[in-house]
Amino acid sequence: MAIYINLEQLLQERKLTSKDLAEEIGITTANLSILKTGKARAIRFSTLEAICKALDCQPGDILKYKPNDT
Amino acid sequence: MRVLTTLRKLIRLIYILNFIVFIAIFIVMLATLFFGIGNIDILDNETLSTFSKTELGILGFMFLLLYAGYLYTLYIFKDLVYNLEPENLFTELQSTYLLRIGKLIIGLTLAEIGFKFLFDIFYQQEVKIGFQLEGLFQNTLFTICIGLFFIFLSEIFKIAGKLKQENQLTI
Repeated sequence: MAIYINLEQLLQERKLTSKDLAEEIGITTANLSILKTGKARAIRFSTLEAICKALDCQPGDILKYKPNDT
Repeated sequence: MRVLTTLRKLIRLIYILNFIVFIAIFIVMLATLFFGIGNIDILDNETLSTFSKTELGILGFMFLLLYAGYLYTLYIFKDLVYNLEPENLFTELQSTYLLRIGKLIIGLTLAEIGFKFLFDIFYQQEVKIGFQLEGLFQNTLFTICIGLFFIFLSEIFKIAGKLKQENQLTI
């Protein structure tokens, strides 16, 4: 998919672990892993809002567009 | 889920009863045709009593073949009903089962129609074409409709399965 999640970098910049973020936004680490690895089909606005709040960032910092090389 | 429990028990009972009947018919047929035990008159049918053993064998074999097909359909239906759980719905297996049941119902009904048609032509020298009005569930067209409905249900299960997966992957 051309849209990918830039969570790994944001977590590294803020020196946070996946577990910390999952706990803060109230989702399981398994679901956060699905999101991080790009396996998720969609993201709820409520989840996006919670991540933005926890990481103090904009939705555009989390979701990135990278065209496929086809 | 009392309905599901009742359905499961009923299907299992029907399957067991049909299996016993199938085995009994098979044994009677073998005994009558190959070992000369028993009497063809037990069939109590004027037309059948005039048949030779080979003709009766073919007839019996075709009957058993169709019966085995129905039994297999019932077996898959039993498996499907036992596989259906509120927390385990719209799986690929269930969709495959539904598709197979639908195809079997249609195939067996058409085979039965074809067999009856050929039987009438060869042994009774008559061709019957008509529309049964005795009862809805004795109507072959309605049976084919049920088969088609199962195939349609299989498609629905496939779509529902995809939607369920998408829903599970929405974080």
